[in-house]
Amino acid sequence: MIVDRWRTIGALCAGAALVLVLGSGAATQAQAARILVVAQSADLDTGDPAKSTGLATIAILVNIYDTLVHRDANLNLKPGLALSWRAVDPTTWEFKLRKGVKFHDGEPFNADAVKFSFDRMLDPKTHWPGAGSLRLIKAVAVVSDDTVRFTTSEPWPAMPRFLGYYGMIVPPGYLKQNGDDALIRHPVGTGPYRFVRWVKDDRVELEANPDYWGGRPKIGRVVIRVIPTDAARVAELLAGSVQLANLLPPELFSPLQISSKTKLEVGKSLSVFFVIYNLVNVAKDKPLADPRVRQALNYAINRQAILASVMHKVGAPVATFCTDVMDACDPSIPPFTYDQNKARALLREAGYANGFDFSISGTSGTYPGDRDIVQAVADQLNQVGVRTHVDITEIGVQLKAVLARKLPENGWFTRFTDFFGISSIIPLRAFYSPGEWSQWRPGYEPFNQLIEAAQAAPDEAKLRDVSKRLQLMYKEQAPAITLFGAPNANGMSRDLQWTPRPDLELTMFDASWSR
Amino acid sequence: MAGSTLVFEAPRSRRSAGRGSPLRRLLRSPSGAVGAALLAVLLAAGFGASFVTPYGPAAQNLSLTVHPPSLAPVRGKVHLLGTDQLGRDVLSRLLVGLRISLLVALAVVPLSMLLGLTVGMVTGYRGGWLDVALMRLVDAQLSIPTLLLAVAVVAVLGTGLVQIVAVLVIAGWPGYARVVRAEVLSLREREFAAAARAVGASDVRILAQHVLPNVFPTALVLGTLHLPVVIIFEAALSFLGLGIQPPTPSLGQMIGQAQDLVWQAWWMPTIPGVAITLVVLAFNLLGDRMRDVLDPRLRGLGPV
Amino acid sequence: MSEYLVRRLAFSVTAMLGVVTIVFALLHVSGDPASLLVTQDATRQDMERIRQAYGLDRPLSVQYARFIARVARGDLGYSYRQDVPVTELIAGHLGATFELALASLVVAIVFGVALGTAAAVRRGSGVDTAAMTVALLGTSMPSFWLGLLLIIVFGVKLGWLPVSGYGGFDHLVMPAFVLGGFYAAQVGRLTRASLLEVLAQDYIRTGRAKGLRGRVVLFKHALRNAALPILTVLGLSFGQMLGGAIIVESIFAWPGMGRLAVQAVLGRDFPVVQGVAIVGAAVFLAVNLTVDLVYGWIDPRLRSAAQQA
Repeated sequence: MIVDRWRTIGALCAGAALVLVLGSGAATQAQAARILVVAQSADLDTGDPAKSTGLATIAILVNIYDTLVHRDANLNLKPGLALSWRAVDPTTWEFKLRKGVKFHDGEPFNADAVKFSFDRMLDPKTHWPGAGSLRLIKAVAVVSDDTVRFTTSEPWPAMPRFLGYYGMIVPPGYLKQNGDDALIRHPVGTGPYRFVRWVKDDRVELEANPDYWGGRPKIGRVVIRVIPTDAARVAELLAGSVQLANLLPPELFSPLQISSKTKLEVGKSLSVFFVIYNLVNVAKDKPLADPRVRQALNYAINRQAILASVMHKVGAPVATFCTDVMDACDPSIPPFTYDQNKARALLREAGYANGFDFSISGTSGTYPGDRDIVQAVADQLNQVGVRTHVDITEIGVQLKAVLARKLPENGWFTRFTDFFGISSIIPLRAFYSPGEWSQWRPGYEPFNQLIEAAQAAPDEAKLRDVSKRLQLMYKEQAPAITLFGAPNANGMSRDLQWTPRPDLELTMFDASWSR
Repeated sequence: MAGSTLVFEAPRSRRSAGRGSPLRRLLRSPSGAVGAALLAVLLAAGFGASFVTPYGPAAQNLSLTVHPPSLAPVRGKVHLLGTDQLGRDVLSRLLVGLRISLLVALAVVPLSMLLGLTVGMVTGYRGGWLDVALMRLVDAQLSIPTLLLAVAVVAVLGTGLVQIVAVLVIAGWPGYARVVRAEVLSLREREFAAAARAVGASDVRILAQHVLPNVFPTALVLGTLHLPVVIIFEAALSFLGLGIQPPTPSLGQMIGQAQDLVWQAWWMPTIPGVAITLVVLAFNLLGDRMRDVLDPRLRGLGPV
Repeated sequence: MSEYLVRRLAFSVTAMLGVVTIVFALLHVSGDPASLLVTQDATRQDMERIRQAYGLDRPLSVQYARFIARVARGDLGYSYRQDVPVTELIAGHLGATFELALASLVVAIVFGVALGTAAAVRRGSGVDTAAMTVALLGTSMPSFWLGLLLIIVFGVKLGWLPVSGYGGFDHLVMPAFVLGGFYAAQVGRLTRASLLEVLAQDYIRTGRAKGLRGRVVLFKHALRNAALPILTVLGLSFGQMLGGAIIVESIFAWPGMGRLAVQAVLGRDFPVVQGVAIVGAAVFLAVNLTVDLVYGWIDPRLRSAAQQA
């Protein structure tokens, strides 16, 4: 009898152990089998990375393709398809490539693929919109199967940083076999996810690549859907039919924060909101021609109040033009304080004790919170005597006027983003006088020279030094009212573990479900 | 008001064709009284209270945003209908927005009536190629769904208070013109007109002295039908962002800007909508009774 | 009948011509039509090319003739902002609007007739007053407000229906109700009025003698009598529904022509605005023509009345 009982107990324990083992296996299987549904506001443009630089497109393609250099969530450079890199001389970079990597179609990844990809993407006939950012690359040479050399036309110490965002590697064999357009509808890369299906204006389906060089992704299937309206994305998050949605506007933060099924995760930002002064050929007797006036308006803005109310406490003040996650952004430089007395004093000093009239061109619905931010700014400027009027225009109309340098208003409310994560890029795009967007013409020559020096800085130390001087000069010359960093707000299911990236890429490789 | 002139007419009982002045008859019925009372309150609010609002309509308060309606003061301030996303008092904006909406309606209706009356009288009386051309224009314009036409005109004229009035007048005059013309056609053949012509009176004289007094009640009736339509159209255009622009408040604009706030601030899109509904209701109730009193025959022309 | 048909057809054609003229005039009212037709990064050469292509340097009458010829061919211009011909853009969005309009018609008929019948049957009672109040409110409420209220109640608070977007049946419910609601109210009042008319006439004669069965027959007869004017109103309303769809599509992010038109106005994409106006009018006229023909066929008396138009 006792023997029988022990046998029964033994059998039960064995059974229990078996169930546990199988169960946990099933649980991980279940975890892997559970589909992650992501929602974006726009569809994929094309499956070919050399044909588009669209945000929604890159966000999806980063799962299918790899770049030579990878970046982590703080934008630190890490090995991607390249294991290491060094500058052989000021105009030559050598990359050592990872071995044993295969494309999704089985083709091997090697230096030939790298050369092919870069030649193709920089070929003018390909019309790649991002080619301008990599224009310093003169040639790519295959040194050996796992070594590649890039020759640049000028010294370019920042090149690896750029290759952390641009430069997806495509399979030469696949293209030769199926034609140069083959990737458009059926992308093939070396990335952690393989392409399954693309239903236009609806969804893209991806499945995990078990042979990925970085290890098998934890989530087995990812579906990226197109839901253009913000409110609809939030509604589906709350209902559970979508588990991740990015780029949400501040008005929709609270339902996600309140619900027990969802959470709001805020990532670091690479975007800054400005009201850029229209200084195109500004006459000497106009208020904005005086840097003291330009500074005064900066002191008049209560950024914390706007962040706490309109932005629902999401977003951080920015001192000049770079956010904390950008390279060479000096954290010791303080932002403009909120000081109405100082603002009025500066205005008095400049001769505008009675204020002056000021108009801002703003948009509604283009950037999260835009309409309310610009109205709050106008109200705060009114409080120091600057009689401000806001014109809400459609983004296309506004940008047309800006590019033609015929903006009728005194201020241009806008947002600049730098996906490469280098502090000197936004000044280059927004304030450098010869730049196509610049409203500072003829501008201030020392500032332009500093920007040029930053582009040519031979090493990190020099870059930091120039950058610091640039930031200090910016505060002095104040070509814009700096507001704050734009929010990078993502709504997700409470049981999804994923860190939002500053560059807004939807890399699902490190996403997982918590138990 | 469409491609054909087939209109369904339901014979009405003539209860109200009784004695007493029109005003008394108007107010005798419950719906007329309610409508009049409601309108009186709204006019008082829109043209009286809106000048003495507790806060300026554009006064922001970033430390008190999206606060629900409450009788009790919050941090020393009372916001009976709550605040919006910039901390502005909803009640103040509501009152000023009400004033703007009423102004637009009270500007558009007389202007379209004037234009429509003129065109209708001239073409109806004179006839000829002018008549044919203008009536073709009227038919064509009435073939484009009204809001669509308004949107297209905004594409050309732009947005703003003055532009909206222009857009709505352009959209509104054909309705008057067509009906007035039909009336004029029948009047033309009446004896008094023939007699006046025989005496040698000029066309203008005849139009002014004989035709106008006869068609004016009709136009007035159409006006009562037009008023609520204008209120809704202005609100619709402002809601879409094609009408009155911020910072000038407008009831439709307030609803449009609160669209994404439905989760956290249900009162923000709801309250201005109540105001619009009340205004339209008042005009509808009064308009119905006025039509009964003035000209029961035209009862069948429902709002479009 | 054929004379009536020809007459109505001729009317529709001339009205359409008028619409095209109005749209042409709108384009030129602004002064520089070329600036309305191009996208934001157009250079001076682009503007010149547009002027050539559209013949904007020719005399106005020539432009007008060419415009009419183009529209007759089915060429509604090119949207430089979206980089596609306008006809293609509209074709892609027309289906969604039709779907919405038809669903709204169903709502208008079903709920309108139900409302009106309930009110007529219980004439003078609480049900009647309630129904007619609902109808009155239905015509007084702005549709976009009703839409948002429904979204708040059914989408946000209760979570029963999706908040916006295009999809299956449950995406169609709220938009159809909002668009159809106004017309349901109108149909309701109309149904009640005409039912009452019929009931008043025959009730005395029929009396209680015939009992229940008589009343059922009465209703059938009454409803048939009411059907004609209801159909007329609905037919005429269909065109206005295309205008109302502009609002409903905006609230619910419904990918139809109305939404296309609003985005085109905001984005200064004038060729699209022109195209939507023309197509909208064409549909409106086509529907009216059909309703008139059906009506005229059913009731020959009205054909002669229509000749006064």
